[in-house]
Amino acid sequence: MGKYIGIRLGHALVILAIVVVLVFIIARIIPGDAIMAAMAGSVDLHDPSVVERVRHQYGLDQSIPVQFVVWLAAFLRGDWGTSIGTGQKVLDMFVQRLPVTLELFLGANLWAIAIGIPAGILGAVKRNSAADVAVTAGAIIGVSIPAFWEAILLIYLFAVLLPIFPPSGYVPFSENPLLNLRAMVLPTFVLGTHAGGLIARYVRSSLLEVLGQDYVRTARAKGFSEAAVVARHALKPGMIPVVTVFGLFWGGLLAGAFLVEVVFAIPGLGRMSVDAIFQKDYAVMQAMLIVVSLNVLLVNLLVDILYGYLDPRVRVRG
Amino acid sequence: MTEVVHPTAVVAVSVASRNPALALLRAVARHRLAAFGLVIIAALIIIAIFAPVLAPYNPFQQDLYRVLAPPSRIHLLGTDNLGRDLLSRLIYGTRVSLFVGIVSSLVSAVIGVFVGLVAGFRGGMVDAIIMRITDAFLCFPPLIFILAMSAVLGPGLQNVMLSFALFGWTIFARLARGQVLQVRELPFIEAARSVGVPATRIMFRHILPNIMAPLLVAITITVGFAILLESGVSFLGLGVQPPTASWGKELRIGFTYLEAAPLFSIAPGVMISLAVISFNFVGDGLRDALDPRLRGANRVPR
Amino acid sequence: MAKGAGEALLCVRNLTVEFATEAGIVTAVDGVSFDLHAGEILALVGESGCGKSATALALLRLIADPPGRITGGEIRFRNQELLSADDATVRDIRGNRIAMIFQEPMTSLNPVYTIGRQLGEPLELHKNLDGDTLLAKCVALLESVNIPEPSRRLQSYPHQFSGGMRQRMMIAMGMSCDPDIVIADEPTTALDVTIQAQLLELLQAQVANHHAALLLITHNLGVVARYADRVNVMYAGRIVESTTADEIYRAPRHPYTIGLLRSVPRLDQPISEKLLPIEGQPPNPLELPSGCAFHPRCPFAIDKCRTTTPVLTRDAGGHAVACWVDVRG
Repeated sequence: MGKYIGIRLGHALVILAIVVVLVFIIARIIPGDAIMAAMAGSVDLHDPSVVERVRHQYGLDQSIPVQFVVWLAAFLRGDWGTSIGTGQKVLDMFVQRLPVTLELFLGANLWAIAIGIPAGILGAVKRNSAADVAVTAGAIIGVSIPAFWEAILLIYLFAVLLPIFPPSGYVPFSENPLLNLRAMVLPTFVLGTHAGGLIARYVRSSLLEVLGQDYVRTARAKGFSEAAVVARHALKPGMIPVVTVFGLFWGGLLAGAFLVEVVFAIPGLGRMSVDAIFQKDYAVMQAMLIVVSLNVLLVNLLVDILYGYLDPRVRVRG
Repeated sequence: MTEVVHPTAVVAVSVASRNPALALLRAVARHRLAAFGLVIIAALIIIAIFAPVLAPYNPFQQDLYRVLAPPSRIHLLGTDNLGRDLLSRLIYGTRVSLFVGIVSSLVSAVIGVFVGLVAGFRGGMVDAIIMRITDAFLCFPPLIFILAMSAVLGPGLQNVMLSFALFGWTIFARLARGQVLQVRELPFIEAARSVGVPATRIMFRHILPNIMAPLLVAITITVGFAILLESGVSFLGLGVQPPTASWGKELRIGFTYLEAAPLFSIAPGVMISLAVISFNFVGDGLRDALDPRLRGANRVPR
Repeated sequence: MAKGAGEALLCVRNLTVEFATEAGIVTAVDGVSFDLHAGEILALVGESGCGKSATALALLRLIADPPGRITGGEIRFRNQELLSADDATVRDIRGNRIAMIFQEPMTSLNPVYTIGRQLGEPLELHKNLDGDTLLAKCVALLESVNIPEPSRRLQSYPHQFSGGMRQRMMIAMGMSCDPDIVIADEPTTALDVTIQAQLLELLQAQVANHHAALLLITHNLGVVARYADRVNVMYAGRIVESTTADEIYRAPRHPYTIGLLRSVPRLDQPISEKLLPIEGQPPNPLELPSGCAFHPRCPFAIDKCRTTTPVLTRDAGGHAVACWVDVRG
């Protein structure tokens, strides 16, 4: 098991290095002097001496590898730059908005699991029945409908037509828990249904494959009832591959959060990032890219390790 | 002790297996959802091709006297905030979505398959490096990647497609590599190599045909995904630029007028959803039809 | 070799099992009837596709539905009719009174649970054992099938066992509740030739110790010769010959059986004598020949064989054949 974790960790570190380089290329090299223009604000770029000064001020006259090291060092120190849009320190902005997005995520995951897993099990156990077709179709539809459209529809139905939930806005939990939860119902539901659809399909197909295995037949031959066969012998091997789904849809959840936060006007990390992209606020963008990709990387690493823990065969193969 | 020397009896010989194309078509057609998807996709393609004929109005024609009009006999779906006919804009939007979806998917496929074949076949360090790079790209959620690229490269359809291809290749690279790894160990490949058949020959003659089936499934689903992404990017304002019509963009405008003209927010979304669902249904149907494991669930014991 | 002289534990009458396939309905088991007596070893012999495994699975109602269905017949186990019995009764019998050992030990064991846990399940379920008693019993079970270091081995996972060890564990598991009948479906086919004999010896010893009857499914005539008391030969879903093991080798009566025996080398055969394979191919189960399914390949076939399906008829000596021709004449 140790060897297994070691290999995974090694991979993750290499990937992290590549990611960091990629972010640097995307957010620094490609925009090039545009950064300078953005960062310098209202500076006269036609004056060569000014250009020279600003370039030097932001270290853009150094060679690229040097810039990279400087940039990386600053990042690791916690100096993520200053936002053009808000004037705040980028790191502070992140810290401020993190709890909001975290709550959104938590809620979404709860919905996803609560809907997805039972639906998937139902579809597998009652294969090809009306319920199964409904589950399969529902899952595909859940994944196909654009998250932002689903959000708009739900807002129209439950906030405009029937004013049950607020159409937008956010109230911190510490201020007013009830209002907070009310405001979060629709956003978390929208995010959750997407992940839920994916989970349902994975659970169903995984369970179906398991149910066709010989060892399930052996379990029946021992005299277990059908329910016991599913619960004792099909669920565990069936759910193990589902763990990997979390790694898959995590990225999707992050992207979905962007859209949902914009539509529902929730002051989280997603909305901040979209604003930054519009304003060409490169400092925020860079930080966002690193945080996001690091997050995905970590989640996938954890999923891999968890998978190794659950499925004894994987540990041997590494 | 010796066994009875007789060939295995053939159980459940499928008549259709003599003609694989026919079997495929039958299986897909039987899959009701996939059939539905095929019909919709065909309809969308027709709409896209014959847009100038089908659209009642020029999508760019503004009628400032009839701004945000509700559905009527002259404007079946009403008009947008500049008096342009919504139906026509949606019809023309079909062109954008299908174009972006198909082109993005195909370009990603070409790049990805090539990379994947190389990685799978060369193995060793080359493979390891390519795989880590692939993993790195996969750390970026697609939408976020495209958004970032749009900020960096500028908005517009071409950049959306370019950005998509820049990360979309990873899906196909993984797929192709996986297939190569599977096929590479097969005895007949070993035999071919031992006789001296060059690697490229093996790749194209033997491995590529085996990939076709899952590749087709992947491309289909990727088209749906690309359409979804394009609409998302356009919704956020970074995709197509005015005055071009795109479903995502219409939705963006519609959202701002949600209470005044709800249809504006519903119709484009329906188009997007229909398109994506259809491609997903077809892709799913193809996958079910081509997956030998699922067919094994109907194994007959001897 | 234990002689089967006890009562008929199992009476199968006209068992019919069908499978729905893409190209049509296959009748895998077509009106099969036989008895199994206490303490005897009955072999069910035939090539792949003849329906022997389907017969075995049907006895415990383990036919996967869909695509399979038991469409007719009667299975009486100690006066309890099984096909019409309710689920609870059948479940009580499975693993408890009638145990089954499958062909593929690797896929027949759940990869994510330990050997110990799976081994103990029948005892847990049917004898309500748990805790230390269960543990002790499991250790004893592994010992009884000659698996070394049994206490440590209980913690292993199936993929850590060799094929032979897995199958021995399966035998132990099957015998754990002291069943009346053990059904072994090609127990050694998936194993190396070198351990096949070992395993069969073990199986036979276990069965004898527990005074159980054994229904042995196999396509290996050598195994039949050595271990079986009685033999049923199957072809295309039907039993074509049924008699004692001695009789089968001494005086086979069905042309198929004769053909089988001639195609297998024997120690008492001169080397110069040729092996004769049976002409033709096994039949396509979707398009079975009319009348007797074997007639296209039968050197003794007459007109009646083409039109009418022969019935299994038992003579005074207990030897049953399904053939219109008396090959002795």
